[in-house]
Amino acid sequence: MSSSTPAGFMGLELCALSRQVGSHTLVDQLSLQVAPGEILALLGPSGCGKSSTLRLIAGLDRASSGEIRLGGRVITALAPAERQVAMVFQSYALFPHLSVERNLSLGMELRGLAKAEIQHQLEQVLALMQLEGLRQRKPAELSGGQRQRVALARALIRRPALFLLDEPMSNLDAQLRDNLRAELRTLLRSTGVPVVYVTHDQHEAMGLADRIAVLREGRLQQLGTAETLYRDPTNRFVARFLGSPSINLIERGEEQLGLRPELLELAEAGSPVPQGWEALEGELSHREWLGDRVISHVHCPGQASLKVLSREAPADGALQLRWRQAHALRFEARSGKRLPGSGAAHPS
Amino acid sequence: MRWRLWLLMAPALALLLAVFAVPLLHYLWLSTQAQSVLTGLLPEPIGAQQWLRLWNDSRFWQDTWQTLRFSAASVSLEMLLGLAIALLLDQPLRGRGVLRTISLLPWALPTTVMALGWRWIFNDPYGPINRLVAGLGLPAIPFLSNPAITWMAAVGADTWKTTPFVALLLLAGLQAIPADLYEAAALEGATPWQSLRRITLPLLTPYLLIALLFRLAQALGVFDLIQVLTGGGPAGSTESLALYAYLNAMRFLDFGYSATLLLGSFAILLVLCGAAALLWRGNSRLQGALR
Repeated sequence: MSSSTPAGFMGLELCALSRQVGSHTLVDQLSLQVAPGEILALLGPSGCGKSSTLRLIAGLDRASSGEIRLGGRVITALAPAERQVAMVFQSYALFPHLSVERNLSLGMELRGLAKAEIQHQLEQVLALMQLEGLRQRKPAELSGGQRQRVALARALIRRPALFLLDEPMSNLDAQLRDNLRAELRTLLRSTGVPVVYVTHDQHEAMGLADRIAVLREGRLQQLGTAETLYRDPTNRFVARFLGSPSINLIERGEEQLGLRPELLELAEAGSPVPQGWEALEGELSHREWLGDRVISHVHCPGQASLKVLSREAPADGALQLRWRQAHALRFEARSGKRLPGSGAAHPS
Repeated sequence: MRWRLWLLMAPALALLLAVFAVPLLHYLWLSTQAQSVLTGLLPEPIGAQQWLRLWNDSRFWQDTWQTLRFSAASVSLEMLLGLAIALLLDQPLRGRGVLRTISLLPWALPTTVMALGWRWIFNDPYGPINRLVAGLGLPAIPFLSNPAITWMAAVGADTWKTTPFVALLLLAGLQAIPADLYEAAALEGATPWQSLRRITLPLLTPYLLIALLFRLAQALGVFDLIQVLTGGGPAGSTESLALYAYLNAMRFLDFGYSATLLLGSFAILLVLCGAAALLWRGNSRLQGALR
């Protein structure tokens, strides 16, 4: 993948990046690029290597092998400060003994900037992040959302060549998270530098990122836009990780059919099956009402409970579950690999 | 509601009254009595005479100076060395657990045992240090017989014993500082020295003050180390207030004056520890921020 990079690529490039600790491989031959102004989400369950990757890029941990390039320059062996990266930590890592103002200016003081310059930049960022009223507060006197704004402000004031965020939303409540997503996206895009955003939350990744890299056990599973990952996953892991409610897996011997809940239809039990469709007979076990849609949990013999997303709620009792053959993604049951030629007619 | 609070606190209050308030009040009363061999060990009220005697007692003032000198020297040394050791033990070294245990050993030793050990180490001319000195062809160091040196020997022994306590306390404080603060600082370009000054020390301040408070209270009341190591000598040059009070009670059987001496040294301790506690309280806002 990296070999196809044009010379003089100004973004962030990881080339076969690995990190091993003892016999444990945290990051395994990871290669990807992030263009300037692009937001890439590293998505995966906990322990998938997404935070380890971020720490390698930041220089907080050493790579065992591979290369990191930023703006055409190899930074693999540089100290964190020399990489000119800004990072927003999951805990925000604000200095508890310093006021908001001093939290923001400490870096510039350490780098020996002139007082007037520090003041100028401070005012700019305080205004941009609407923190003027909080400048004298200590982190303990701030709400979760305010702390996050300070952490972002501290990263912005660094004028970084690369922006790293480690689950910056995980300490906020769900409502605030939804509201902040669009705002954060605009802010990050405005920096014009590559942004790497680590999250385990698919909604966050899909709502914020231009492209998503799904990781599992330190290995890249798939890299693409949210839409590509959703409609055309390379394997069962990616298919299951994205989408809510998650994809249905219908057992069929050596194969599994992957069907998104919105692609399954409900019909009267025993209805004739049209040409090009397939069907299972089953029974409704329960319904989840979401407001505009209903999730019906259907029990079919020999299958795990299957979910159907529809506008109208089905009646209780026996029913038929059917789908267009062309919509089904086929996976090898044992390895979870996607079988070629399946799911081509996925609707867009 | 109120009375229930008092009820719940009653056992602790009763204990405090029994072990602090009652003895203290008894001593206050005793300091207004003459109770010694001269009075047939029976208390006789003499008003403020014991306090006047204290005021004019040059040995009391000399011991006060010696106690303060001992405390200031040993506590500052212990704080500095303790901080250095804590910083070292906080590093991800191989065998850190073993090192931590070993470093605690001096503190675990009974003071009398270790003081006897040091008395031998300081022995002139047969102690190991003076053997070394003699081996180098230098004159023996009169550790325990020269007033100018002996108090420093006592400081050395106390520092050896109590530094681990300070180190342990400070190590706990260091480990309460989240690692990502250092990482955030490193990303900003902080050198290790800058990290220490800008992050470690400010965040460690509450622990430094607690260690200071504990150590000050202990050092000002030093007794067992001095008693075993020098017996207060040579020529009373290492005698502490506690030792003087002990001598008055146990050797001269002058209980009234001993009580007055103890109250006098208690007042000094109260003033100094009060100052340290005020420092600590001024810092409690920071404490809250840490949680």
